[in-house]
Amino acid sequence: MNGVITLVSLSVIFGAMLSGFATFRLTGMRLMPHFASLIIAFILTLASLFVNNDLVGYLAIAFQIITPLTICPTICNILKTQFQNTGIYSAHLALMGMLVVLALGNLVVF
Amino acid sequence: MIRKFKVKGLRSPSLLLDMILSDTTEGILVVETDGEEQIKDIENLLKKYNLKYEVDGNTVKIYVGEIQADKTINVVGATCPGPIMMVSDILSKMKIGEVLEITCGKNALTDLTEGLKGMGHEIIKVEDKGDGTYRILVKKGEKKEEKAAVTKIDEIFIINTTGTGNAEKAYATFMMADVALKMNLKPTIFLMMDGASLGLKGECDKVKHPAFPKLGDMVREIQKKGVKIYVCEVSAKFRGIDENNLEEGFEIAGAPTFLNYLSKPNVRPVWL
Repeated sequence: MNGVITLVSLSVIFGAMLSGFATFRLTGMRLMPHFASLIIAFILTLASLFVNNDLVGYLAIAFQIITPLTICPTICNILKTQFQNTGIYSAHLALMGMLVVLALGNLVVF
Repeated sequence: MIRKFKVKGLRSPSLLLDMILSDTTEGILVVETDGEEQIKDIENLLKKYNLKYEVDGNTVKIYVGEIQADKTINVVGATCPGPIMMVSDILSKMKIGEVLEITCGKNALTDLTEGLKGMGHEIIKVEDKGDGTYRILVKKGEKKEEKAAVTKIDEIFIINTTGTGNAEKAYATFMMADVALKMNLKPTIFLMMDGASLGLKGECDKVKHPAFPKLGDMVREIQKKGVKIYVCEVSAKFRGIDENNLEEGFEIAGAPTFLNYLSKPNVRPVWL
């Protein structure tokens, strides 16, 4: 795996955790599966930087792809029912979008 | 035709009422009584005649025959603010005391009854036709006179515009209603803009702060205590919320209901 892309992925995930926490605080506890998946992705990506094991690398990529997908039902509902408030989700959404692209990049160069 | 009379002080008001009813073929009789005993006496007579009636405090409203409306209007299918505009337009062309028959859908029912009352008209009768439509009979009244007297605030109108997008405000909406009840202030909740998202079935159950019970439980608790929760019709429509996916006990209402509450002198609005 390309160390540079992984490092960028890690920073995006870390940023996503912070922005996700801000939106999570604002809207009540309602993104649990997504947040759990994001934390696992962070741990696995961090581990893949130090552990030279293919399984850890593939798991990290899998979670980097799964995590943005877990937000889809929630974000669809928000866009439908609370669109005037969607600005507060935009930072987190942007990082989720970047994470998918970086995950695919990780997969290609693996 | 509406006839009003008093039976105060009479031992058997039913005797007088019997005579009046014998030469009344249609209309509404509004009988002002002393209280319970007289009402009981009147009720016995009305049950014998099998007449429909309503008791409101010390007055009994008796419906005799079919009331003839001077004009009719059908607003089924029209959405807020259509119905009230169509109805007030036709009422403005009618004379004071004339009766208008309105056929409307459930969505416009509260708006029309509340809105027309606020405009000084009298709602004579509301009938569920059983096919999802309602028949309202309204008597044109005079415009209410403005009173400059000091009014005691005894109702709170809580307006939420952020919905589940702001959990703290969502909690505050229902907590405030609960506190208002304890302070003998009648609370009414109106959800508009993003606030309408609270009216989506199951949406409130998704919000749970560690320090408080689940938002959905709090909403149900408030409803049990008799607090009315309205969802703005336009905001609901914008968010794909209708009768099918509306939370149980919530009611869709429009601008007339909203403005009627805001224009009451005894109501204080709280914006969230």
